[in-house]
Amino acid sequence: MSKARILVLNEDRLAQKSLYEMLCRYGYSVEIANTKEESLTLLDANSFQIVLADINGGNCAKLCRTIREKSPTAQLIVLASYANIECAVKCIKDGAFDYLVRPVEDEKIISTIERAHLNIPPAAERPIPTKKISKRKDLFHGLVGNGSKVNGIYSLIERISNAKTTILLRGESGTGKRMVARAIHQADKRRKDKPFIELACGALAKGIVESELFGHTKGSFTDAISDRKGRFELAHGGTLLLDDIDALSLDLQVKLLRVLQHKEFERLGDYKTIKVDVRIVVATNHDLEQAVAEKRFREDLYYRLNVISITIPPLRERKEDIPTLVEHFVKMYAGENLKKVREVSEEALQILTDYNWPGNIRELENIIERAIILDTDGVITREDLPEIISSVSTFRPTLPDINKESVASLKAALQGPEKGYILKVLKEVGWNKKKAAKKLGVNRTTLYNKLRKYNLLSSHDQ
Amino acid sequence: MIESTPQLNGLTNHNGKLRKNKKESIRFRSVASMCKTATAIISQLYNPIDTSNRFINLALQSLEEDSQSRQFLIDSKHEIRRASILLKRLIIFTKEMEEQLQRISQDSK
Repeated sequence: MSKARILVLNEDRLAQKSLYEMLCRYGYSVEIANTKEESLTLLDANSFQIVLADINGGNCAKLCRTIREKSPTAQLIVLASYANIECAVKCIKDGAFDYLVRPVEDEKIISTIERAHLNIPPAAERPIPTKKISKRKDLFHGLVGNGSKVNGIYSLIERISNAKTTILLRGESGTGKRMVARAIHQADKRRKDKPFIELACGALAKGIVESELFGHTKGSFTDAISDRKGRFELAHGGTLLLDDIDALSLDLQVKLLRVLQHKEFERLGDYKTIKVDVRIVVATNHDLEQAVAEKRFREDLYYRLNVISITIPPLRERKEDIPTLVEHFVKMYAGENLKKVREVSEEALQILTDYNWPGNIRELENIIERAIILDTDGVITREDLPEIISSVSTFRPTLPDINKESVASLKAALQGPEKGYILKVLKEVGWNKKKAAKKLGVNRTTLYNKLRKYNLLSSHDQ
Repeated sequence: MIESTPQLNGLTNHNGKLRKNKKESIRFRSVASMCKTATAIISQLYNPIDTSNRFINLALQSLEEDSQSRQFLIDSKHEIRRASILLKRLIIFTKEMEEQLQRISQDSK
């Protein structure tokens, strides 16, 4: 039987820490809630088998009822400071598995957790907990999610929606830069009904990119058999997205700079200057500052583009949006494939939330599409997900970009390398914490603290 | 000079009883609030006691069997246990006091 996932509710910081350390050493996967409200939020977002709650003189019966309602299968263990028979009876009546009176030895807590874990009915005997696919729409001009990071992006888009300025979108591949560009276009009242044109600069040969951007006249080069409008002309009045802007050659960068500054250009093979009114959004998944330093990207163009910069966080940094994104893609692909998929099992959702998503939203979208196609019973379960998602941990450390202003202090700048090094050592010693601590020259408690801090425990200790 | 009359004596006695009742009521309320405060303090004290105990257990796991530090920690654990037994006794006492006060308060009604 796999180790239980435990939610610890305790308002005392050190008490939380001690419980966390102790339970982690026994191999449990532990989450901490500081307040009752936080515990309810965590119960909403994750599935726990055990809830260990310190009632500390609060309304125990109400807490038990609320936890039962939020998570019917979770076993609640109440920790009380003194034996109050009335309160104990109420707790048990309202669904608590046990009522422990402090001081309570660790062994007692562990044995109670084990008993509680055995008390959970096997999956076959209970209905699969699922999340219904609601019909609500959490869309912001086509963008999905309501976490704090994307909300920041939404508010920035609102503020810049009617400005004429160029926008630089940064973010890893698959984070949804194109969707953000489209949302910027949609949010602009003057342009939303005009064309939204895009060009992936990295996907085309150098000569073709120039012709695609500015157009050409008949006979301007061998294959120019007729006049052709470029993307700038096609996007007149609307928005032009130039993806992979860093792939643009240096001579094209000069031409682009001119268009950005004067809003005018000439078609290939033509002398006539064309004036356009286009909002330009550029996107890249590379470090433009590095490209400037290496002279692969013009500095003047970089400054011209980097007026408003939006960094789109990778999916692993906005996991709170995964349930909403899953819901969105399930609805979308169920409709496209004429399938009646209405629910996603909590277990599947948990697996999707725990996964590290190196391919970001694009990868999630493909996984959901696959699951919808393979599904036979209207509920997406663990079996509908590819094995790699549920079995392989794909943790990828994220090192902070020290050139960015966002790194406020030395401490913050050192966090990334520290995380990377801990991970490297852990891999070397086969995730043996004792050996890793010895190799790192720290004690095990410090190592566990750091693992918890960098969120490295849950993905490997389950 | 006021002469002592049976009415005056009665009033003096009544006044004395009122003063005594008032004193008792104040004492009753003081004890009740002390019990409440003691219960709250004890329940708060369990957090540091539990936490220290648990951290000692964790530290013991990583120490050599016959090290002196280990012995220090085991001794600390015994002392913590003593403190928690004292607290347990204190909480039983305050709970009994609270129950008695509750009974007295119900009887006087």
